[in-house]
Amino acid sequence: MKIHSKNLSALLGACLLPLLSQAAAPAADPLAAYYDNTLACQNQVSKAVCRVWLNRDGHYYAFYDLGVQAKQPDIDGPFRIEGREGTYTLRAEAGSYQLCLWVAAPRIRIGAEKQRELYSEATCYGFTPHKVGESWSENDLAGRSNKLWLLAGR
Amino acid sequence: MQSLPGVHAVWSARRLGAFALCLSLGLALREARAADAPALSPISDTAKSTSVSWVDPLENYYENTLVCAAAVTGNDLCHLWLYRDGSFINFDENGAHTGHYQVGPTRPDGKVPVCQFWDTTNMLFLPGVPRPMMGPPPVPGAAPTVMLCHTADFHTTCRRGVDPATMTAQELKESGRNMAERFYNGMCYPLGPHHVGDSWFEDDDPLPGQASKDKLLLIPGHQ
Repeated sequence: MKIHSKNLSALLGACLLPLLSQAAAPAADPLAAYYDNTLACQNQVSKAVCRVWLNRDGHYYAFYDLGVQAKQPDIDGPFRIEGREGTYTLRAEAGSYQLCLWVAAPRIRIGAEKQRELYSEATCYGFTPHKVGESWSENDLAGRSNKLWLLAGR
Repeated sequence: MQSLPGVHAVWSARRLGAFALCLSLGLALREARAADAPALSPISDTAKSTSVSWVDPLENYYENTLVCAAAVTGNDLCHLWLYRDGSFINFDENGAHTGHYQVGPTRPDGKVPVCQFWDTTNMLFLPGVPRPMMGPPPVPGAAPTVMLCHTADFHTTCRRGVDPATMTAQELKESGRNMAERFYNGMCYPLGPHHVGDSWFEDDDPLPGQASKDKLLLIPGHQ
């Protein structure tokens, strides 16, 4: 009886394990390919270049090269190089994703935001997950075409 | 059914054993990490505790942005975010780089040397997008020369136009480094006591962009 109970428990455990592990398996992270890599973009009209880092902890960084500026920069700019940091969330809505960005305080309105460059505004952007090495095109919020890349590394 | 308490006892003992093993492994790992962990703060605790009125010379740089610009044209070339924990992000037209920095002793002129060490030697260029030109263009017909940087006692000096024939094997190896490799191995820049809104010229930078100096601006926030 003792041996029989042990065998039964073991059998039950062996049968339940795959079910339990399947139930406990987390859904694939749509951003998995983005962590530790760089999302890059180039505005095909302004030629501004962006590089975006999405960290696992919910922080993001966006860096811009807006090209040579017409005026020499002062404390208030205009700057060729710009960056900003903040937090993000990825929302799944009706079968698609939205990448929502919150800019960290103090929130300074940088030139890239004034130009409405991709990922420069504190808002939600349509988001389609891509693989490392892929390139594609998307329009920014001003309707301009941007070329994007998911580049390996940072 | 009488056997169930026995089975539970066996499993409980095993769980307890496994828990104890995990705990010991965890503690051992934590101790090993603590022994290997580098000091996060770039300024030693001894330096802080020996002075009652110790003021962090980099205080105004944290949470703000140091902009390096060309001395003549004024164009901004890089932006630096220094964090209190000894890490930083430096970004320019070639991309962004994380790293850690070390602060040397305050110099007689009141400036502190800040040595940047990038985390990687990666340079991430966009496919099909023209790469920015680094360094002056080669002079046609002139003998090939190289740039050599050397760091000692928290001070980096770089010499341009060095004849490779006059260099040692080690210098030849170091002269072949690109910008990311130089910063990976450490580049020291003096930072003076400045306030947000200041702009000034620095003539002791290792790689001055124009007219043997750099223009610097300390601008508010991270931008």
